[in-house]
Amino acid sequence: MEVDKGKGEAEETRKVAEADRDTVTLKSSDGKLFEVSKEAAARLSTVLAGMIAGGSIDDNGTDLKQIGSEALENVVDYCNKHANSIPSAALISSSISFNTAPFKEPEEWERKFVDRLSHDALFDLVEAANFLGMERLLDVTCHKISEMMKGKSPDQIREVFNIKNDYTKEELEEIRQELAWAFYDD
Amino acid sequence: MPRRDVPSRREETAGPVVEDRLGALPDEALQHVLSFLPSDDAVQTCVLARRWRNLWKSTPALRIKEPKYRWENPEDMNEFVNHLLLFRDHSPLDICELDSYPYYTTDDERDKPFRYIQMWIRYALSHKVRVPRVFIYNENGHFELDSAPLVSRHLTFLELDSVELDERALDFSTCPSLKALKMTNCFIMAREISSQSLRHLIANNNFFSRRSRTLISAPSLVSLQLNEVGGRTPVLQSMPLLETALVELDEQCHDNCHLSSSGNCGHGSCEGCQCFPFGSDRRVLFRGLSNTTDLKLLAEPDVFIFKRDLTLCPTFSNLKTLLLGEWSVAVDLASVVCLLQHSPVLEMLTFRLFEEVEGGQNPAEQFAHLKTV
Repeated sequence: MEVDKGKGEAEETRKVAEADRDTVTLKSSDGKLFEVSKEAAARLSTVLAGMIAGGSIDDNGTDLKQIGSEALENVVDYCNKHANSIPSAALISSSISFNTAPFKEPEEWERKFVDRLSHDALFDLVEAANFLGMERLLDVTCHKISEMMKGKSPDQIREVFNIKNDYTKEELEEIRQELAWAFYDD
Repeated sequence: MPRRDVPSRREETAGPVVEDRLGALPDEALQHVLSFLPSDDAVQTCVLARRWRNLWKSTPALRIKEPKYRWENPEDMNEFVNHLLLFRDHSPLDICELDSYPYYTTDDERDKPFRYIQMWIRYALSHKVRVPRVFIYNENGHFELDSAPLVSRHLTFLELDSVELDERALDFSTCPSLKALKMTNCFIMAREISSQSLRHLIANNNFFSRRSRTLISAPSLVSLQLNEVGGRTPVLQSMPLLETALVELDEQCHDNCHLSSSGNCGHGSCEGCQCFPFGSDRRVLFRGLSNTTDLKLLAEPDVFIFKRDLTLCPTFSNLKTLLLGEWSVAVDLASVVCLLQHSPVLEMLTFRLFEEVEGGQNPAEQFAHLKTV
């Protein structure tokens, strides 16, 4: 998907392409260019949909200064994979996705898509999805993070995510008393 | 959100984590993460760090799942949920999943696990819930949804399992956004399932009333699945947009008679041959199914609803794919021929005669042959 050509050559190619082509070119903070299906981008990202509708898409690569090339590659990869998967309208009529889709749970391919990411790549992708207003990608990535928390004690969760416990002992005691109804197993 | 200058650790999934990337996310993203956790786990994240102290209060989901593994008894679960709803802030709920506590007792307290469920559902609806799912364990005792209609502009998908539904409980005229309804193992005594907006209806293994027929009035329906219908087959009103439908009437279906193939054996004592719609349109199912392109009709041989509807010579002007079950060989051939003659664009006909054996014929040949009968 990456269009990592020499600048002059790339521009030449784009001049040939008409404005109504079916992909858009996105530029990462470190200057790399990626092409993504216009239909999928507009469907999956409220921000890109707005830019496409408002004509603020730059044929030479729309600047996304907040997103690094690794995260943008994942975003584009996700959009293009989504474009090739079963259209969401048809999903709801099959009983399998009837069980998952409304509850925002990821499809099998979406699980695999995030499972292969490193810790940092996962969070880069959450930030990118958040920035681009990609509700479904946020579902998939946030679901993955919740899976990493599930069934773990507070200490284990702190360890996985490197969370620093900044409570004092007294504060923690106070919280546990205040929310005694939620700490039934202590 | 500036791009941080950390070297890529992409292939190194178990690399050491040095930064609190989770805590650095905005509140909404953290609430999104919490919304996937069972609610008790979500509340308990408040002890992680100060950043987490109040996040649970505005999590847009209520998920009470696998209660048996989380609470010792239904009272503890009730106490938890009641406190949670009391102390969370007033932010809207998107998803609500409620599993009742599996509780076995012979004493008078058998309603303990269901005592507050109606109230929790009302809470969820008043907090704009879009997708509620209610799952009841009904080994003893039963849970009856309030017989007054639900009222919500936000409700889009409703799933009910093992719930008793009476009177006007399935009248969704006050839920204008409802798109999909799934009911499994429910007792449906409601007079009507009605919704102007409903597009998908899945009903698996439900038991309908034996004495009167439930009317399904859903003119926007696109797909319909009625599996393992017990009691009386419901009456379908006109569904002009319906594309795919599966109707399966098994041995629990009360519309059966071994004497008559059209529900009119004439014996006053025959319970099967009763309870039909009157008036100009006496069809039970085929009025609603007549615009489908893909239709599957399965029934036990003694169940006569399809045969009876066939005697009224229905037309299926869009039907392309048709699957017929065992009942179709118990009926006289003329009715099946009549059905085919009234399906002008049919491309594929399959007979499923036994569970395991599918008798698919070359569709073109089959149809060409029958056309000439």
